[in-house]
Amino acid sequence: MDSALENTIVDALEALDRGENVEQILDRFPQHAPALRPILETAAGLADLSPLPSTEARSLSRQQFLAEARRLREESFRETSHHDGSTSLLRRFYYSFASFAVLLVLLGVILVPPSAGAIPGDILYPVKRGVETLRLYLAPQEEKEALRGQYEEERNHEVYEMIEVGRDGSAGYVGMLKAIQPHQWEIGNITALINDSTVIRGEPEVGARVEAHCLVKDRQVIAESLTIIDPPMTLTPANP
Amino acid sequence: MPDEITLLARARALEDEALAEIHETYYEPIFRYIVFRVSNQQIAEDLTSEVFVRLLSALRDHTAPQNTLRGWLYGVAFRVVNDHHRKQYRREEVKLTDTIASNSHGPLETVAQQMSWREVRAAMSVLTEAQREVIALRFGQEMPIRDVAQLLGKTEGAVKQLQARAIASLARILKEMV
Repeated sequence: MDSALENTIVDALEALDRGENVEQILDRFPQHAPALRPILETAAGLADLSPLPSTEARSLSRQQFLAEARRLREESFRETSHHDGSTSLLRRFYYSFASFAVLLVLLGVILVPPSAGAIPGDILYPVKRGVETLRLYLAPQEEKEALRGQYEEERNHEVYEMIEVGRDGSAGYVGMLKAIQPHQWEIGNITALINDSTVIRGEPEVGARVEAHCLVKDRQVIAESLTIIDPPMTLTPANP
Repeated sequence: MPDEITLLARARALEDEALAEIHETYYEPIFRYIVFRVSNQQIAEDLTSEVFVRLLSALRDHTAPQNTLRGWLYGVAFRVVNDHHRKQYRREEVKLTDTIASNSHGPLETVAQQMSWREVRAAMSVLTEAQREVIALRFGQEMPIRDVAQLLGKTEGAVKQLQARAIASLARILKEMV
């Protein structure tokens, strides 16, 4: 196709696009009319030959489109609900954990130091025992025995304190049985009174370790139960 | 444009009314573009539906257009047709009857008016891909030259030239067929 004809076709198609009819356009380009006519008629025919979709296909497409939209809407709703639920659960867990952590910090900063000197009957005494239990639980295995010894000493010290300040209440301690008399045992440096209600477990023997649960009343220690937890250490004589 | 922005915003919320309006507005133009590319009624209808399904996927994935729908739908239609053609390379196309509704009327007995869609398809098949694209947009979507140029990333002059050569080729082939 030569460029002159091609330019004429372009111009003629523009004219057709503007609404001029084929004959008018051909009159404007008489030298190219024979070549232009089928081209313009084809263009006019294509514009007029406007294919339409069938009503059924269009309707079916619309139904499928809207049904798929509904499905996506429901899916989106489920995902949002699930996400919200998960977030909510996570958030609750986070807040609970944070609250617990804050409580622990508060306990550590505010309550633990004053509770160190608490004795049975003090408000902070349960805190003191709780901290001890926690420390014992968290301590490395090799340190646990030393901690237990330290806390046994503390129990003894608490009973002394109760006697000294005249505090009445229940107490417990562990010590070596130093002397056995009909109505009292000397356990460690504390004398525990024995009466008919005192429960004694095991065979008492001087030198044994005894766990005592007592009632401190009127600066006296009344034994409620005495349990022999370790027999006395036996010294094996060296061979001559 | 503000109306379309509002419409798209409602469509992103998957509102039935907005989606129905979009389908009503664009189904026919998209079909007419596609039918010029595939020249088969049933396939064109199926592919047109596919365009709208892809619109829903884009709305779900938040990749749908924010401001204008027409160009986006055209782009999707373009890809849907190309995907179809790629599949067709792998299997022989099933021959379907080419009865197609037409607005053809009037006293002008043109070459094009005497042709059937089977002949149009045959004639279209000899065009280059770019020429078919221009014919589909110009006569399927009735898109102005300026918009076609913008969509295809070509100059208006290049689009006019493509259109002129495409119609000249169609006229020659159709004349031989009639």
